[in-house]
Amino acid sequence: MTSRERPNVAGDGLGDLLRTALKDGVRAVTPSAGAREALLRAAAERQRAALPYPFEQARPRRDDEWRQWEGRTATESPTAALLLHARLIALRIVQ
Amino acid sequence: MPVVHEDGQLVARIRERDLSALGALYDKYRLQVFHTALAVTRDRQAAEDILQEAFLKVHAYANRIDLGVPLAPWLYRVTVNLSYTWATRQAKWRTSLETLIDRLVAPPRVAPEGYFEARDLQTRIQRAVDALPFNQRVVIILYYLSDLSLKEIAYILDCPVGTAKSRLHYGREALRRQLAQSLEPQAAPVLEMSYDFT
Repeated sequence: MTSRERPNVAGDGLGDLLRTALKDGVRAVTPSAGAREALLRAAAERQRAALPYPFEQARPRRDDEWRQWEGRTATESPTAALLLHARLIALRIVQ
Repeated sequence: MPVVHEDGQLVARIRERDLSALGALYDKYRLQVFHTALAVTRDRQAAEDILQEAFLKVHAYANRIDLGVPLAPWLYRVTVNLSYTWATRQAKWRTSLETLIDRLVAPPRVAPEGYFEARDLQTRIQRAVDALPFNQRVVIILYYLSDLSLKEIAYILDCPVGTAKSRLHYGREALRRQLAQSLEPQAAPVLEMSYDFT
């Protein structure tokens, strides 16, 4: 490379070099053809499932779980439910 | 009534679960996001992942996006943050891999000779940019590739304008040194010649 061919990296010459090299480096590369469709499909899935971002499953509150469990048990056996209820209260106090 | 930017109108439609609006924003900004991510990561697959993740964030956070301003700065900020996360993970992975190689291979590794012996100028410049610290590399890319002002870059990086300016300055200086060194004319090889006089 002769001095005439050697690129100028001083002053504004560097800016021009960088601008050209960086733009040439990416210009020919584009996202794959299916990227748009994949994006919209992923967004639709999230929308349909109404999941809070990013993937957190909407869980019932802990208290609701307890209430559901207690209610279901009570219909099966009142005595067992009473004993269970006492244990649950004790557990709550310990917690 | 507040003025709604044209991007804001699309974001408002996304809030109403209109995915065609997300598609329209994607069509408008996909190359900017993709090329920025590609320039920072130098990894096509990573750039595609970042592209999708950035627009999924638009979808997820549509309710928080300001409708009165263009979306581009917000998208650049998300792109840079995602690229940073990717680069950090890569660096950790590379470090652990290098450590492993160091343990497995007895002779000490030496810095690759002739790193800058790449034949073409673009490759040399790209390698020099890749070698910059992440903060300087991002500013160089946003300034020279994306043609953003220092004020816009400062917003994207969430830093004062002076900081963006200083990163640009140090990045340029580092590039100037590396490129000047790589473009130095090589000493001509000494040819051993012999003559047979018969």
